Amino acid sequence: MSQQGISKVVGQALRETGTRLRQLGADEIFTRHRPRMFFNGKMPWKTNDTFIAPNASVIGDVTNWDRSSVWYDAVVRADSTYPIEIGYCSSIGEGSVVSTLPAGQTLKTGFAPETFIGHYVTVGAGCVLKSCRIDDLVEIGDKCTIMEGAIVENNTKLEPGTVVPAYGRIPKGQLWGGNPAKYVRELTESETDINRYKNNCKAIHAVAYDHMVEFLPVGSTYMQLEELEEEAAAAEAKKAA
Amino acid sequence: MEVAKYSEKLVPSTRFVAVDGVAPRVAEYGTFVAPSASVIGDVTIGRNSSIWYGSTVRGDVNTVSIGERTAIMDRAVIHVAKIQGDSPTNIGNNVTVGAGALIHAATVKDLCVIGESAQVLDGALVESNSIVDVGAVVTPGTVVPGGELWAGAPAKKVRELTAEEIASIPQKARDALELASMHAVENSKDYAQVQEEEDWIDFLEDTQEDDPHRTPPPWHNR
Repeated sequence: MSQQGISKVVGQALRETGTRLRQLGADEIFTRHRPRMFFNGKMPWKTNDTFIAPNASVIGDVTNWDRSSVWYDAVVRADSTYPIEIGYCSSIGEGSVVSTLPAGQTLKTGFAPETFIGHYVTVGAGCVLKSCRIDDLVEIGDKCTIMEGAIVENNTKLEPGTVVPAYGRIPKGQLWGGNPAKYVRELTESETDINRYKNNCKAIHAVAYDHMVEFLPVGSTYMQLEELEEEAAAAEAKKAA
Repeated sequence: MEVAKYSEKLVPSTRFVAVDGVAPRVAEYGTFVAPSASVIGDVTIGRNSSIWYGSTVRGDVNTVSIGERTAIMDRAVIHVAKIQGDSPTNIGNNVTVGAGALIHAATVKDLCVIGESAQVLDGALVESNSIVDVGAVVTPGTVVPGGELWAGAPAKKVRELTAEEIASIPQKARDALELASMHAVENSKDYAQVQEEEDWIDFLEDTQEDDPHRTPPPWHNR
């Protein structure tokens, strides 16, 4: 049934309850957002263990390894022919933006301008990552910004709000923070313990799994749409009778 | 214990929201507004401009005007002020507002680049041909003169921009516009077409050989 048919039923309900939403353009009442969107013939690859929030945007040539998660409102956009990879058990926090350089632009270092996020990486909320390389076992704090060509090596931690400039490098086993990023201190033995990162990431995945089961794989939109269609058909049948 | 009843299933579109009867005015041709973006209230968007995924342009208590060929990248936030100072937001032509940036009741003239995660606050003015660096916080009332690079929190002048950097500013806007037109096409597909294309991609993945430059994860079923 067309959008117009449904909008008649819903529009009536909205008017009756006293709310009136004047929308621009075509009668768009329900969001047309697609959490997993193909782009230029490339569909984001994900496993059954991956959690992609319904209002996140994962677009194009993105590879999500097992147990990875893309949380609410995040944008992972691999639309410029350069791929993005999100490693095993890694998570992209709420509202983060992961993207690549525009097509045609290359890095001065000669590396591929793809964004590579390694295994067991926790990217905090509100981060912005662009064509960077994050190696395994890294904790990136909230609202960090990591620009193109940057390399964040294994076993590092970034404080919240760090801005890693383009082509910056965070060496192994260190804690960096600030805008622009500056060395703070070495990470202690307990902080560089691999199991700490792994357990953290697994805990995040456990929560992500709880979120994932709240949403049906095909979305629950179709159920309510079917109800509305039946209502509209019944109303029309009544009118005809 | 009372458990909240999960009743709302269909998600309303907040792509364009009218406030107090004033709806956004978007140029007819060439604009791309992502489905997950929110354009609210008294907003005017010029031709060939793009509002990317997850961004919010909220002109509820004051006006927002966005020029032509301007890109408001992912998760950027454009606000206005009325209660604490009466300032509309005016963004000129060929401006690139980077991902996660915040423009709060400020004026940005033509041909500027606001870096990722930068914040341009109340009453600030960013003149033409200037770049606000990544993560900078332009404090309220600051004027960023033309041709300069400002960085830091609070933002201060770092240096003058080279001629090459100034020439790269419109190039950035052009790159964003090129991508935006592709995204606009992609997002305008209706459900039937999306389903068809997804099936086609599945078929291609099953029948085509792997890209030799990129090995998929070992357990990827191809």
